Amino acid sequence: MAKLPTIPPERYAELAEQIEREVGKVIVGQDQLVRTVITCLLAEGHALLEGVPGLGKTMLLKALSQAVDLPFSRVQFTPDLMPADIVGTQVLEEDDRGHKTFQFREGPVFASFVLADEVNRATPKTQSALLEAMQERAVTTGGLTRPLPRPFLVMATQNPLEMEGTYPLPEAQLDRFLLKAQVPFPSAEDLVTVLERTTGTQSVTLHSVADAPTLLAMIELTRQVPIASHVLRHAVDLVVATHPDAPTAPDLVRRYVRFGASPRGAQAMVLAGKVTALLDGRPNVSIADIRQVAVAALRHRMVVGYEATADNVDAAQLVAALLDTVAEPTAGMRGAP
Amino acid sequence: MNKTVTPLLNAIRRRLRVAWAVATLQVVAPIVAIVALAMVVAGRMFDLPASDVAALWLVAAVVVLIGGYAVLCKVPEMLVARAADRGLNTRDAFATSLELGDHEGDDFSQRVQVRANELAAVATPKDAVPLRWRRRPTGVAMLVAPAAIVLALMANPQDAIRQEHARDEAAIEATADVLRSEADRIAQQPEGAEAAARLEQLAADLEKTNSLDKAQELLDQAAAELREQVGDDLLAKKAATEGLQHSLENSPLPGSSTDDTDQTVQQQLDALAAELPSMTAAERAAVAERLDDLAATQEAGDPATADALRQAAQALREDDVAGAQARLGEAGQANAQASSDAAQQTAASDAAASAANAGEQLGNNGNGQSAGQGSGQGSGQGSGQGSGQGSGQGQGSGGTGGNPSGPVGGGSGSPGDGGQGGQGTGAGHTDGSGGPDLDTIYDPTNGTGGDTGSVGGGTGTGQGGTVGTTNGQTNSGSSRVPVSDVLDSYSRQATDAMNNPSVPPAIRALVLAYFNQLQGAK
Repeated sequence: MAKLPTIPPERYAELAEQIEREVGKVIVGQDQLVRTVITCLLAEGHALLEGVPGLGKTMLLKALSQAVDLPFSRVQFTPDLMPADIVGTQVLEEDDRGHKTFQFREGPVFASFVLADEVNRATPKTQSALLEAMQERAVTTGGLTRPLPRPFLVMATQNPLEMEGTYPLPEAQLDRFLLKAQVPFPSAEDLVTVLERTTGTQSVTLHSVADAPTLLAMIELTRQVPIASHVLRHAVDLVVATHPDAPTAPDLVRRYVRFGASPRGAQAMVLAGKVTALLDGRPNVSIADIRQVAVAALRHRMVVGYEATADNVDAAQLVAALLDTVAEPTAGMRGAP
Repeated sequence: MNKTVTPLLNAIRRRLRVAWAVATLQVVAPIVAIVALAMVVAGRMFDLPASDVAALWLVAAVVVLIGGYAVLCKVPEMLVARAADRGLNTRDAFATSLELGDHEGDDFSQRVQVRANELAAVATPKDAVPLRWRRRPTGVAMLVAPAAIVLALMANPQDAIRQEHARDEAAIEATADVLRSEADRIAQQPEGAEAAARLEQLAADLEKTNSLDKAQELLDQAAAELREQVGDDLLAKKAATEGLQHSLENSPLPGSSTDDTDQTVQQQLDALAAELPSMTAAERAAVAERLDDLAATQEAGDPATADALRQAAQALREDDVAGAQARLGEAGQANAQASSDAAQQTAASDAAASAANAGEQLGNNGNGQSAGQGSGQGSGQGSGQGSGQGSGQGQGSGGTGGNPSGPVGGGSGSPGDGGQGGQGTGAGHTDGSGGPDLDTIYDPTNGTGGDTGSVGGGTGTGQGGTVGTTNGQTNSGSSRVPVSDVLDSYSRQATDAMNNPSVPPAIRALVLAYFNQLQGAK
């Protein structure tokens, strides 16, 4: 593997800002969404997006791939989609001398950025194939393991409206996504801008501001960010409190949550916190960073019961209650701030 | 950690100590203020003399404890760093810096240190740890504490009660002292040891109590016990024995020593018995006559002596010298026993009077009367100059005519001061002027003998009177005491006497009318 360039922390934030700026040329009014996806990219995780069609999810990933000059593929998940349609398949080919051999044709998952559109419409078998690739960052076919390119980011989307005929992702597979973001409908002003940019003759040209080695260097730098023990402890406290039988669990969690977040939830918060700190220009993770990413990191890792659906309580509300209950730790002395 | 962060954290540590003290005071202050107010209020409702001081000590102790703990408690550096991060909103820069240390070669560690130093350079402890004042507890403390202070500065009604208790205790102690002096006096009387011991015991019991009511109860109880020891015939017995003694002093029996004027009745009777064999018949007849006369005087008060004397006289008339001697010996023993009983009962009576007087005096103290009463009761002090016969019958004391007694030594009481007993100066003269004197009456126990000092005593009230004592004049004669003091006793004596067959029926009616008249006057 070629030696990665050295990226100082100041450059890290600048590069991330440049990427955001490039993506922002085509994605209007979704700054938080863009930040979430970039966080997943720099933390070397995957993003799960939930939103109605037409909000620019595909455009977002496409723009991101152009901004960092990396290949992008899109897979529309349907019930008849097979695992081989994603990971690739062995094809019988005949060479010039008439010898026939099986050759592996890579599937769309071998791109750096993969958009799994409406991932919940594929069968669990197909979903599993994608999620295995996400976790292992490699594909094994015909007894041969083929590594996926780095960086590798899967951005899966779910349509919350048309749930009929879908296969909701099981908890274990949801856990593979570092963060989950809601794609909000843009404001009227942003929508006007979108219309101006997309209905005229003017085309937007995106420039590449980073490449794969740069991104890999940024990913390496992310993991080097130090985090104090009390900050780690706070992340753990938050995860523990998602469990309904934990003494620190808030009432809402006790009432509506069936299973709390796994340790991957804490890992997700710490990694995302590190990215957040670097993007903020700080060399250390703070408790505020952890709390800032808590909703995105924990909302899809809490298994809520049917009572929550009946009472129209979603996971984001539960995490908000969690943050209220597990307050930012004090210094531990009366009179201290 | 470099020179910029460390001084800041040290300053923040000091600031944290102050903040802790302030915050703790705000938690504790309302409670302490309320408790202090309760103590001050309690000191005004109950007899708690140290309540105000205790409240002050409580406040001082709490302040000292909190201040001391704030100064001495350990404040870990990590706690200081986290407090600084929270107060200055430095996103855990100081805590991370402290935890990472300065690792050379670790780019991030050095960057963390640099950032901490930059933040420390512009930070102040005051911004890091602001002192917060919680309105509610502070307001409560600010309301309650001045109320407690104002109340503590106001006059305490319990002070008067405490002073009253102190006065009560002083009065009880003074009464105990009086009782002891009375006990000393009574102990010097013949057969007075037992009564004196009872008074000593009473004084000791009084000193163990601080309740005026309890003291009064003890005094009343002791007075009642002592009165029970006094027989109804005390006056008659005393009159008889002392009258016989005086009679024989004035006119000794044959055989008595002319040099020894202090011979007892028994000694004279023994001397007479010894002289009988050498007497002539005429002399024996004269002696028999004398013995009969003496027996007549003993009939009411000392019948045993009277019988023995009468039998001795009869034996002499029958020329039974040995029998007469034996009867004279019996008469002497009977007289000695009667004298002893009389002395013992007299001492008990005196002790009972002392206890009663002390109880009355204490009661007056308890009532808070400040006006001296100085009654001078018990003034009978006076020795009348009386009859000269010294019979103690007091017949010659002027009777009921005129005002035979001089002004008795009434004690004069002044407010707050005990009356002082006056000295009896009964004149015993009669001038025939004035009507019947119903205020005073003859008391054979007073003035019947020079060696029996009568008790004069003015009693005062107020701050504690003293019972003065005076010795009566040594001249024999009669004395007069207030009728009210002796009327009941005299009435009983008179009733008893009237049951004696030796009193003629015509005289009984006269005596009864006399006491009825006195009873009415009383």
